[in-house]
Amino acid sequence: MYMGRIIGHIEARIRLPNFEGRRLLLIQPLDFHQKPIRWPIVACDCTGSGGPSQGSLVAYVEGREAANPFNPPIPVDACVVALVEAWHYDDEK
Amino acid sequence: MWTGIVKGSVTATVKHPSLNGVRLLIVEPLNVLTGLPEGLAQIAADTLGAAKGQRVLCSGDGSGAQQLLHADKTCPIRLTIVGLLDAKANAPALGGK
Repeated sequence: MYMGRIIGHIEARIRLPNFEGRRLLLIQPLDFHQKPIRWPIVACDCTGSGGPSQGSLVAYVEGREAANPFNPPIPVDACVVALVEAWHYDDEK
Repeated sequence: MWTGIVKGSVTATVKHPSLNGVRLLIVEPLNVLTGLPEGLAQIAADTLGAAKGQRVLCSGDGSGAQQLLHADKTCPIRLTIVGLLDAKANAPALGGK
């Protein structure tokens, strides 16, 4: 799981039927100083909260397991699993 | 599996049901040869009660995570803390002898 910020969403009128009703969120991965790492990714949401809003911080999972929560199955590589409220990060060794 | 050090924790109320009652810790990978942090810190699910500064063993196995969290097949979690390293570990760089 990594932390990221919702920076928008993708509209795709023509898509696989199983994607119906799923928002495709754009996530900018962040480190725990909120500095961007890597490039933005597209993810679905499985927190069942109506989806995270623009600018909110989330935790997301990448890989095969990201597709687990979805029925009917959809081919996703990343999924939002939690909305981050707070975090404590101590960078000292 | 890889070794890491616990650097902090994450709080989330709205989350996938499989994460209810599970601690989310920030783990930074540690190189076992040098003992230095290496790579990006990640969020791992913890059921063992690891403390901050604790050196831990992490696994990225999704089906292992389902068993550990007693979750069903809809569980999207991959990264879990599966062990707490003790000082007797045979790796001087990790604080062992």
